[in-house]
Amino acid sequence: MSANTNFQPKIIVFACENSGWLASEHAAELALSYPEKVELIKIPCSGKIDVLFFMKALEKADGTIVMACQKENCKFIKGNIRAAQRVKQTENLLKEIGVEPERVGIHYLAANMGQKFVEIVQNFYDKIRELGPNPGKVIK
Amino acid sequence: MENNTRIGVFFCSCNGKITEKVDYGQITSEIKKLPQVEYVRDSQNLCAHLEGELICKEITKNQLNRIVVIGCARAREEGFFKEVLQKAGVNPHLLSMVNILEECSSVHGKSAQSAAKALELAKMGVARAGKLEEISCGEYSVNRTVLVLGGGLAGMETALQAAARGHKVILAEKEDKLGGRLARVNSIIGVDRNPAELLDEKVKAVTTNPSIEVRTGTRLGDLDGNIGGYTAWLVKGDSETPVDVGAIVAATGVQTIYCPVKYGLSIADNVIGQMKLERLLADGKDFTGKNISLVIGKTTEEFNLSFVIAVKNALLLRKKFNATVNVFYTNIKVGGDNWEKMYTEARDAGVNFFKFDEGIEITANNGEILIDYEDPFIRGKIPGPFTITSDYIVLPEELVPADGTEDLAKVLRIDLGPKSFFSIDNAHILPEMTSRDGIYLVGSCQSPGFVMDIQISARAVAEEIFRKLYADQVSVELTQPYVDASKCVVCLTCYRCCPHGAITIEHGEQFDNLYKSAAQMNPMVCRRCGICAAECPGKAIQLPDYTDDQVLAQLEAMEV
Repeated sequence: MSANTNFQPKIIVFACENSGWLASEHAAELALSYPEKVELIKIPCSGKIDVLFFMKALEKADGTIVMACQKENCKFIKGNIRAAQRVKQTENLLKEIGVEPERVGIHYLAANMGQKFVEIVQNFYDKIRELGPNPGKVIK
Repeated sequence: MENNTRIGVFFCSCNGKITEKVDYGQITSEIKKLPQVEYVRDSQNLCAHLEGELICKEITKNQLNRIVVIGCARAREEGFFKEVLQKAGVNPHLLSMVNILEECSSVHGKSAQSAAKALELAKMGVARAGKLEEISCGEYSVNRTVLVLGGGLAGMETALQAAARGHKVILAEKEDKLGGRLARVNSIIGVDRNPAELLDEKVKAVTTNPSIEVRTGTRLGDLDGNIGGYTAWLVKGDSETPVDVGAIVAATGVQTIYCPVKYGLSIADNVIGQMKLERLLADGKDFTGKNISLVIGKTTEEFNLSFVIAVKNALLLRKKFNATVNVFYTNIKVGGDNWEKMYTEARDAGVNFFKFDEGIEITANNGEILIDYEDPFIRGKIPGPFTITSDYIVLPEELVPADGTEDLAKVLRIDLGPKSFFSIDNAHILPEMTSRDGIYLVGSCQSPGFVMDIQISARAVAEEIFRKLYADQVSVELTQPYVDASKCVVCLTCYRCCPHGAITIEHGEQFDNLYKSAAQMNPMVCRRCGICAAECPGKAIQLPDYTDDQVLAQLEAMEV
């Protein structure tokens, strides 16, 4: 448990154009709310996610996730499988450099799951909050 | 372009929807301080028509070459702004949209934090805009010939539809005459035509059409190339001839396996399969006053075809021959246009429906069929089993893809889906499409279907082919990933991971590396998923609009 209860983690969400991004729009339509320090970056498919993106994101944020289409339902057939592999690769890298591998993750949802989007973001936010600040973050 | 990047930032308050939560004044002053930003404008409603013209004017006046729209980022609005940019003479891909509406004002309350987030989003958008690249269009000469595999109704219908849209068609049928399975059917659900007549009409239309070339006894041996430039090797007997085609339609259909042993029966005159019943009815066999039992379900529940056919024939036998008809079923799957009605009609006409789950035993005894079954609903009150005596028993057949579907899938490089039928790509796009552009599926080869569906999908496929190959020269937006040949080591990673087969390895002096070759993406096939770009170990591949530079610039612009 983090000593600082006021700690507000920053989360970067890489959202697949066909699911996560649309789900965030759906969440907005439903007038749901999630923490402010969650930023979205649009990618054309979760398969576009790169270890480099994750690592760069972790320079700025406390946690990062990729939102992919449901399993077996990727528009590009195996993009979400690739993304899961990439997440695993990043986890290994993080372990090596002594950062908690839980700071990166992949979540599956569909375009009409605004509620689920908020749930995922909130849960991840809470998890990172408990983990505390990212030790690898660049401090200005 | 590097030095004279002039960014124009347009704010939209979406009729006050955004500004009630987020204060644009502060963001505007911050954005103005950013380098390269030459012009900033506030607006009530940017997507109004007049505003579009105003943006056009401002772009020319201030010589802007990158546009950032801050407001929402929906696909519809994006299309509108791209049009505006095109009108102003700026490449439509030099547009960066920032979604303040949905990412900030709709989901957060008015607070210092949400204001900070809005500013951050705006900065990210501007940072991305600085890295945007132009995307041009390319002219490609394509072959417009369509190769249709399978001369059943689906194949013929597609051939006719494609021919009507000006394509040359080669219709390859592996048997020695056209017709397929429809020739063996008595009546068609939902189509008020005699199948034989319908088939004759289609065969006549196909054979007399000057732009359709029918090749019987022919199958596809091998395939090379991509949409607009396939080379197909057609095998006839021992000879193999290459033909150049632009698109391929698989309409290879389904086949049935009749297996009475599964129900503990041997082959006999009064034990018949569904297709045999159709044949007998078409031949005019008299069933007057007979007692006929139909069994559906148990092992054939994957597709609703056998259910609907059973109900159709039960109704027909009852009405035409006044026969006693019993239908034994585990489930009745008749969801579809008018099928439910057909089912109720069958009940009203006096067809007996008996439900069973596991307990059914069928025995043949001196030309009579004894069916012992247990009703799962009244089992508790009136213990079974009940026995029903019949003159005929009609068993469902197993539906499996036509012979050679698996080999064909390998040749076409597409996947097989459930029950080893051809896999339809997925729910995101048209069901007739496969994972490769230029290869389409019609009819029962993707899952056993109905005649009326075939007619619709044949039209959809012909329309899709026409959309792609509308002329001998087609203009394609070059949005496919591009390869930096000096970084490419021809490791084939991208080639292996591309889900659409869009990547080829090209050789030539222009490629600046040791191997004088590099991976190249075909813009007509590529669907811009970016998997290759992410997978490339040498970072040689970049996906336009989502290059590493652009994404990293966004991350860079973010506050810690």
